[in-house]
Amino acid sequence: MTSADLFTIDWSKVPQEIADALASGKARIIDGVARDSKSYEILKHIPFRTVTLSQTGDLAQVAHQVQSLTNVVQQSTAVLQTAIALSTAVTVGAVVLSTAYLASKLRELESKIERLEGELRGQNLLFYASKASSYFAAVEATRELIASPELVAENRDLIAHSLSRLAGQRHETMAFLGNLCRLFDHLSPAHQALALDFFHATLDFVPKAVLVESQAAYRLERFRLGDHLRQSARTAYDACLTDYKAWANALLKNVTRAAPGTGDASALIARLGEAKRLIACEQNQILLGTSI
Amino acid sequence: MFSLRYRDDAGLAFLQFCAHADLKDLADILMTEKGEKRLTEQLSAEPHFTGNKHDLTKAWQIIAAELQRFGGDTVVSVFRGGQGVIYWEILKDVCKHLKVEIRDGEELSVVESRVLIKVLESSLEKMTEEQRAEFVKSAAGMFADGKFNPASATPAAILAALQASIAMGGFAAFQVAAIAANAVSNFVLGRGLSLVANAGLMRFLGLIGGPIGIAISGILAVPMLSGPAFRVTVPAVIYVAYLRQKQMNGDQL
Repeated sequence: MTSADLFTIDWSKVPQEIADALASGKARIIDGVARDSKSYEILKHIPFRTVTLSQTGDLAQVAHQVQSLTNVVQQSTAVLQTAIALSTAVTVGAVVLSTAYLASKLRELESKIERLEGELRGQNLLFYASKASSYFAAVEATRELIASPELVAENRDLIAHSLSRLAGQRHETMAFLGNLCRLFDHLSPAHQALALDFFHATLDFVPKAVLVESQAAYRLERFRLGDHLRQSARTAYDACLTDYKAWANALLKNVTRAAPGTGDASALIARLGEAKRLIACEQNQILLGTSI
Repeated sequence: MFSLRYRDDAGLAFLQFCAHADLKDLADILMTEKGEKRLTEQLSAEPHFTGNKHDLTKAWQIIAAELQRFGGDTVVSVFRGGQGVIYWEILKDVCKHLKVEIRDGEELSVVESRVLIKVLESSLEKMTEEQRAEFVKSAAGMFADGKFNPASATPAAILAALQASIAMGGFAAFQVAAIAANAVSNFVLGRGLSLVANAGLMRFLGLIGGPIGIAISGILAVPMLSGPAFRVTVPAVIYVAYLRQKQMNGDQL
């Protein structure tokens, strides 16, 4: 993906009391506005500046570029850390919300799910696979709806409808991932490879989808709903990762133990680097844990 | 001379999960003895090994292949086209040499633990009473009940307590493996383990390393033999046993 002009927080114009409130957690940024964390009362519209970032297809690269551009001087360590975290969240979020990033991810996911569906015939998971596919498309459709303030103002009813559908589809997708994880042991190595590719790609997609969902709620000024669905999604996401890690670690320990009759771990071993990157992905944790 | 070729080996496949420093120690054990290059080693001539010397995680198979080659009869190895024998065969030979019981179908880590206990047994027998008491004091956390009485620290009693701890699995088995591997590293390489998981264990190894190190030299100082190269395979098996325990006590993800 090519370079893009994106917004990042202009910390030189953020008043000290707002920076302190953000660092202490008394204030949060919600849809570009600093608000009181408890009452959601507006404290200050956050000043932004434009930056040109290259390689917007890779969120880790985006985060690295933003961190090097975040210029905060004469501040406490807490304010500095908050500034870097929020700048990263805002710009990584902007890439997801305002560029073709999500559409390109969607194309990858669709190709993976098509191959997986072919292998799942005869399994009752096929039904859920089609639900997951619908979820991916619905996320991108919602992203388009909230892409500009004008679209939000004109289509509040459509966004509200999307929100009610997305929550259900997200739950179905997470349930599908959980079932898929439990099915890994029963798949042949070739089928397991396809399932793992899809599983990794979907787990990487979900935090971006949750950002779209929560931002849609915030743009309708449904702050509690936005917070609730983000926290709910994070709990489900973390549980899914925990189950996956438990399964993977047990399988890999069987390889180490070399006990007779243990399962084939070749598909997982070939994807170990990808699994490690996914589990350690700071950008996904930022998207699941920070409102912007 | 054939170049080294790795033979698919369930007993050594886990080496692909090991860190560079751990693989470097294993490679050094295979290539050197007391700072001198082994005359029979082939690893240092392997381009895939030398080309990845700064990241041996990419060369684990060639390191494993060298161990497999040492495990086989050299002449037979030539006819095998550079491939040696699988780790189970190496372990069987080492067990026979050390008079350790091994049965077909047993889990590798169980047999390896017996080898490690044998190493400790020989070490404990060569310790003075004071050294044994010091060992029990330093190793108190390794004993299953945690209350082993130094006054009753006969070699047999200590071994029985250690065997009970190892049978329960977990960290005690790893500690025993680390003690033996550290002593091997000191004897063969002239230095301790490169990468120990925690500082507490490193201090512990420092405390008990002396007497065990002296005693272990007796086990490793075997004469050159025409069959399996025990001067290589005995320390290598002890080190592989340690690496296996280390991996089993940690998570990949």
